[in-house]
Amino acid sequence: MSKRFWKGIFEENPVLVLMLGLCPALGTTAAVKPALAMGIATAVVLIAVELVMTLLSHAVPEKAFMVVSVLLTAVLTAIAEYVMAQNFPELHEELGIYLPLMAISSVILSRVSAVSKSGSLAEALGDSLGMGIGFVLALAAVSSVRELLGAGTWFGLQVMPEGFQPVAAFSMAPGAFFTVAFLAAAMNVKARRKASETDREGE
Amino acid sequence: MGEKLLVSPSPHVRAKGKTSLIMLLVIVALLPSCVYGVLNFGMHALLILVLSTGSAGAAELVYELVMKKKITVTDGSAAVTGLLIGMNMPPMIAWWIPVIGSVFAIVVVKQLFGGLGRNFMNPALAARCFLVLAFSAQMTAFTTGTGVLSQVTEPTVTAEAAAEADAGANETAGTDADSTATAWTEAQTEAAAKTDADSAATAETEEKGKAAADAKTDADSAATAETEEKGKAAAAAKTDADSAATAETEEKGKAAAVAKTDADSTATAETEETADAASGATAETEAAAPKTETRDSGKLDAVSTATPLKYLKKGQSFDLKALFLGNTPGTIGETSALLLLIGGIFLMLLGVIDWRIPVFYIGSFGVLVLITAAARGYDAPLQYMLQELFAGGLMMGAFFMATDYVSSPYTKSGRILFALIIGVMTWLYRMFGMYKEGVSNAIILANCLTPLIDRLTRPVAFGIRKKEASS
Amino acid sequence: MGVLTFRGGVHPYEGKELSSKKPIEKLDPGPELVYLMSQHIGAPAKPVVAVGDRVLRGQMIGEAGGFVSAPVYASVSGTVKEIGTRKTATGAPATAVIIENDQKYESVSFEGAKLENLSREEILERIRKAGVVGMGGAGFPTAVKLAPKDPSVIDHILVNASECEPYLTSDYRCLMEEPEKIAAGLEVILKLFGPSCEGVICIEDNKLDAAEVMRNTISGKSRMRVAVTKTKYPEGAERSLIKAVTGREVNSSMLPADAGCVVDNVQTVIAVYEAVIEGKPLMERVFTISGDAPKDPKNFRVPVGTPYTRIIEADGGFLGNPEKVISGGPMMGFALADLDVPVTKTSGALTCFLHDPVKNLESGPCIRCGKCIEVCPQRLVPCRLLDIVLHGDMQRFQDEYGMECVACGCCSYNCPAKRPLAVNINAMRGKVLAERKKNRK
Repeated sequence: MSKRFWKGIFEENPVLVLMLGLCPALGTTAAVKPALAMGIATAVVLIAVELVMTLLSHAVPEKAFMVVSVLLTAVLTAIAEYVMAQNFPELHEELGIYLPLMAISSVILSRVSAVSKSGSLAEALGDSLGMGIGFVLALAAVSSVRELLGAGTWFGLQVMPEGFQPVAAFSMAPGAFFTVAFLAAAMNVKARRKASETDREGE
Repeated sequence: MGEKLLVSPSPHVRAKGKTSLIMLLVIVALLPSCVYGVLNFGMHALLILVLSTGSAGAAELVYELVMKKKITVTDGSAAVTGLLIGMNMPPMIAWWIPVIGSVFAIVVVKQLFGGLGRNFMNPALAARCFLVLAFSAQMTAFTTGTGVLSQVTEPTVTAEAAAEADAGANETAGTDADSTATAWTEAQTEAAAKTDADSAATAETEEKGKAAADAKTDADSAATAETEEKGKAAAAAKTDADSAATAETEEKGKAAAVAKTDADSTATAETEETADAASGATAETEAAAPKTETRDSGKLDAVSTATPLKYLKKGQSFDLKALFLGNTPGTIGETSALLLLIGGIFLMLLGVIDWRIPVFYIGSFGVLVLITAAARGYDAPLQYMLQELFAGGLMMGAFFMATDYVSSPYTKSGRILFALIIGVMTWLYRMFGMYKEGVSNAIILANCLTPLIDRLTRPVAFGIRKKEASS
Repeated sequence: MGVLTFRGGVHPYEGKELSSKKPIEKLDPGPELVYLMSQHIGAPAKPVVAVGDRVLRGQMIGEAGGFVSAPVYASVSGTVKEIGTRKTATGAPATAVIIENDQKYESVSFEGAKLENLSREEILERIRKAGVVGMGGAGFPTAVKLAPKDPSVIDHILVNASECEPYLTSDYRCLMEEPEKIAAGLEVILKLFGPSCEGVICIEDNKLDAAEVMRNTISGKSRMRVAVTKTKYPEGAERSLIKAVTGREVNSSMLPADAGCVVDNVQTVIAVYEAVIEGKPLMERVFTISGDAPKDPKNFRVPVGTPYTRIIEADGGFLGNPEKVISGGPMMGFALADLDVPVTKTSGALTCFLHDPVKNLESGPCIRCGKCIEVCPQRLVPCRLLDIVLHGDMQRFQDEYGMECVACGCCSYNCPAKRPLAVNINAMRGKVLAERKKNRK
């Protein structure tokens, strides 16, 4: 279980390695606050769905599994949206369409179909926690870069010095792509180095 | 025969010419325009050119050292990219912007995709587009020159301006498609003055919202706008000292100057203008604008101004001779159509670039513009077409950007198709789009289509069809 | 006369002036001659003499090894010194009969004949027996080539006097000095085909004087004409020649006969004349030694079997130490590692350079300039084919017409990045052919 957990954070980070959940990763990360909100919301729903589906894996027939998962995700997304709208209306406003999109989030659906079917609660717990936290971290990383370079702030607080000329591109779509790409590349480099190290150790 | 004989596969003779020679010839062809740019815009332009070229070379060298690849800087391709980037910069731009552009072009667009021969887009153009996105305000702040040859010509305004009113409004937002960013950019650049009137005014001023000038119903606003536009002290002469002061302040940082004249109307009109820019509906305000302003040339240094394309966008006419020779505002290397044409013909004669691309590009664009101008009822469609050809980055794009070997198709018919696509796209952008400059985007789009075009136009080998026909 | 040509091709420095004005000189072949048993396409010849045998000039020393094969004849009289293995120009080993020249040049008696008395089969038999093969370089047995499955479809006999390789002037000198033999040989060949078949002597427009000479020689003769083609490399390549003169296209799975053409090198046509009318087997050929290294670039009449070293010696040697000696011309010839190689029926030249023109060329990445595509006479996309070859993708190579390559080298010649196009595409072609052969068995 712990292996799954750590995998979800680094080795198989959903956004930067598995390339899942790119939609929210690109669309909500112009600033750190909405990104964290999105990430946490997704993580919570992911954990809930994955655990429930694992429990149901014996009861639900194979063919109906995905349908049930989607239904469950949609219901939980609706609840999450409602909760957000009630308690954090500005965030809800800012996230716009991305929150309802969580119903078909590739992170949730692919992890469910990968892990829940095995029926092991421990696995599901480790995976969902790991993936969830990994997702939040990834979104935090991307949004930090984008907000720092694109607006000079972090979580709304001015960080960069006065004379700093923000690079508008980073607040916009192209910047999102660049940031995700470079972070994914960095993860890749790290992974390769690690792989060659373990190879050498094996010799 | 004591010495060993050398053995290598045939052919044992080769045509003269190497990759590095080709790059050198391109640089030679670009030099006249560069020299003219420096003479026109001053020593800062020279600094920009040197910095952009140098940083491109340095970026490639550093990347290759760090990634432990073969050092290929001496093949000259980085230098060409860097020089082109420099030539695409407004003359008074901050030094670090072209450096960022060069690094982006070389490292991201070229090296990360595999180095020479593997870039999927023209690196210089990709960098230009990136910079326009990233630093839209600086990239669209054009000034007149401070150089030896600095003479700014006035545009001759024609009646078509009425018809092109919205185009003028639209172009305010035209620097980048995202109106949010525009507003943001405007807000950024006018950091100084924060009063409502000022902000609106300054923002207006910042942008190329010269359309605002036309929108003013009173002479003052008109004068102010003009001053902003061409930075001609003449506007001052037109109204009163206030306007002159406006022009001055313009140049200094565009703060409350405008407010001095008629803050209310200006502000109102300009805010309206900005709002219009966002929404795009300015018919009434624009139509009311006086259409026959005349301007005298001023002798201010580095006054912010607009490029000829802004006028053309509004259907106004610009001095053809000035456009052709290059006595206009614009980026460092793009103004002189004549010198670029000479450079382009030089390269075509030497066989460095394929004539098909510039000829079909300029041809298709010209024909389409001519038809559009006639259809829109312009006074002198042919002259308008020529103005469109010589204004902005079209000449540079046709001869030096679209013809980049790597990102253009390698078959002859492919190149023709490629050029036609760019021609049509540029026409669409210039005539109907929000952008005032469509060349870079059109070329980049076509660059992405290049592999497809290559596949489509792949030749059928000698003798193959015949066989299939007979079998 | 219109200027006939094909699409593509390059214009390397011609270098013909070094030797074009020098008439053919007889060469003393020296004390030892080496007769390779494989001087043609097809099965190697089998030696029919033994060590110690005395042989005469014109005596068969190797008999044909099969249907597609040709016999080999001694070009001097002497004693068989050895039957062993010697290297060809490409470095491959081959069986060879080595004869010690007794310098007496005693010949067998050659039985001449009159063309009107010979039947078609008799003509072909005389050509076959004489060991005539394509002397333009391929070495295909001429008797087989002149007997296609359906002779009635042949309407053009193209005498290939293009000599498009730079520096080579042997064919040109034949045109100037032996035009009657060419005409007579063409007459022989034309007899093998129907009356609708026309003989065309194809000459490039850098040899207009030779064209004039030929025209005068054949004036009045029916079914013969001279065609002048644009000077361009590789005008003399079979497919390009057929395209230029007749407009028809032949691909790699077709024979020229499928396009109604038979193409023969001009020296082959002379050999046909000598074989049929004079009864002489193929024993010698005209050879050019040129380039900037030889003391006196010129043309020799060389007996088959003469070592290259002997030719160089007879020419007065080199002006210095040459860096490269090429068997053949600079575009398609083989760079020799060892000059101890004998002249065969198909080797026509030695091009020698003091400085290797391609010595320090570093190949760079493909800049997609399309220059290779412009010049390929087979309308291929060499840069793309090279990519495919470097990936080892045999199937895609065939799908994209890689097998159509004729190895002319135009692409490599023109590439500004100096990429190794021709050699790799050809290597892959060879691999595919070998693979196909293996699968056939």
